[in-house]
Amino acid sequence: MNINFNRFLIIRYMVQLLVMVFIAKLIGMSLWFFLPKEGVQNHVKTDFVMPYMRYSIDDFKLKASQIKATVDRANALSIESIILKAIYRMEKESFIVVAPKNNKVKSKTIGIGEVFEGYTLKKVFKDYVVFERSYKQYRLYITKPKIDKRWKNVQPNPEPIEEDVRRISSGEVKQAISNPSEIWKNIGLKPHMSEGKPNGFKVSFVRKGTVFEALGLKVGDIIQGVNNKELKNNAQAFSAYQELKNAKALKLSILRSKTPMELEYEIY
Amino acid sequence: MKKLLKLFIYIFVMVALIIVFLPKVNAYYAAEKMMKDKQVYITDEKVVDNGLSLELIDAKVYFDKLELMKVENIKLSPWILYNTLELNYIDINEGFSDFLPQDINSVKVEHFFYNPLYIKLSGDSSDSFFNGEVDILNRMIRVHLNVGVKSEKKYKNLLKKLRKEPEEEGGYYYEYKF
Repeated sequence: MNINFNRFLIIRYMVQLLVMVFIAKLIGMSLWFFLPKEGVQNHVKTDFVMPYMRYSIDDFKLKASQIKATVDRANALSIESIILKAIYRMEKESFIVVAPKNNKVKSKTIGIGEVFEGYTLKKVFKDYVVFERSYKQYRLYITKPKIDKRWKNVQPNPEPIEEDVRRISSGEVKQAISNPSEIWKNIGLKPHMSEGKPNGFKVSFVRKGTVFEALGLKVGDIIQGVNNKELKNNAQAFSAYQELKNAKALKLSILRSKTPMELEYEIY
Repeated sequence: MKKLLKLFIYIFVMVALIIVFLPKVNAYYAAEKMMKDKQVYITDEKVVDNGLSLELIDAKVYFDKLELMKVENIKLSPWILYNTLELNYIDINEGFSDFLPQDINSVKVEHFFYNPLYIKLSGDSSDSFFNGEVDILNRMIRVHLNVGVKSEKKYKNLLKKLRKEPEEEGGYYYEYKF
């Protein structure tokens, strides 16, 4: 009788345990139904940037006659087939007016990323634009209007865009970035937001006599890229800081008075 | 008293069974999605459900495209009444060597049911250790650091930004309101 009673108790506890297992499994399954079935993968793109090289035409020792001989005139796709009539540059969007050289009346307005005559518009600068075709870049300068000599003195003197490659010593760069806490004594950078989204880093001050002044940075400049890579958040800033340690060149893409500019430096 | 003990056993068994049957891997995927919004990604990890805990082996932690660290073992124990997150053998990205020690042995985050508004933090590196807490109600983090001689020399500029604890306690502390 006593054995039967113990058996009854064991069966009772077993049933209770099974009920609890069932309830727990049911809770687990209901949660599984609502939870995602796949994880998140971070596809880290490795942005390839061509190493900086500076060549002198003298290095190639080519004579003019030799150069002429290598040009296949029949198949050469020249950007000379297009004329650039006008450039409209704004902070967010830029447009240009282009036309085929053989039909100047047939003008077309295109924006960045749009294609004209097989050339894709990549960048818009103050007096020229950059097209891309078959992974090659082409510059197209604005067609200078024929100036009426009577009005020549009225033409404003355009402000030159700083595009010349400046030189800066690697020692200066290393000294400037070796002590991170010292950087903030020499330059002030604040995250810049545009329509609630990070849009670069705004220069709030530049200490005189420092490498940052030598770089040509001015108060109010918005740094948006370093060496062809975006610079819009802290992670990208840190990544750029890492790469600067071994960089041979530095290219800063900045926005100065709403005008996009590129400052280029050779680190020797 | 016997009834109370019985009830306690029932609750304990039920909690243990819920933990075992909890879809921990899927819950981790949900956490990954939440971290994605903050641009934090955990990749290359091997996810293992150990029944009562979840382990991530050889995980790489990224912030956006920047690799922050490699962690040999991350163990998450969601025991409802006592929850822990342990990160063991952390190898910080060399690029942060100016800011952080490279070899952090462990970091532990604990949450106790009897103190639900606080999260306890602790960790150690080769010659330093830290402990602190997150005050959820006042939205404040306070971390006490005991820094070894080697690290004190190496990170002297960084330590200047921290506040010193009273002399009898020694070390530094860091406070942050979020």
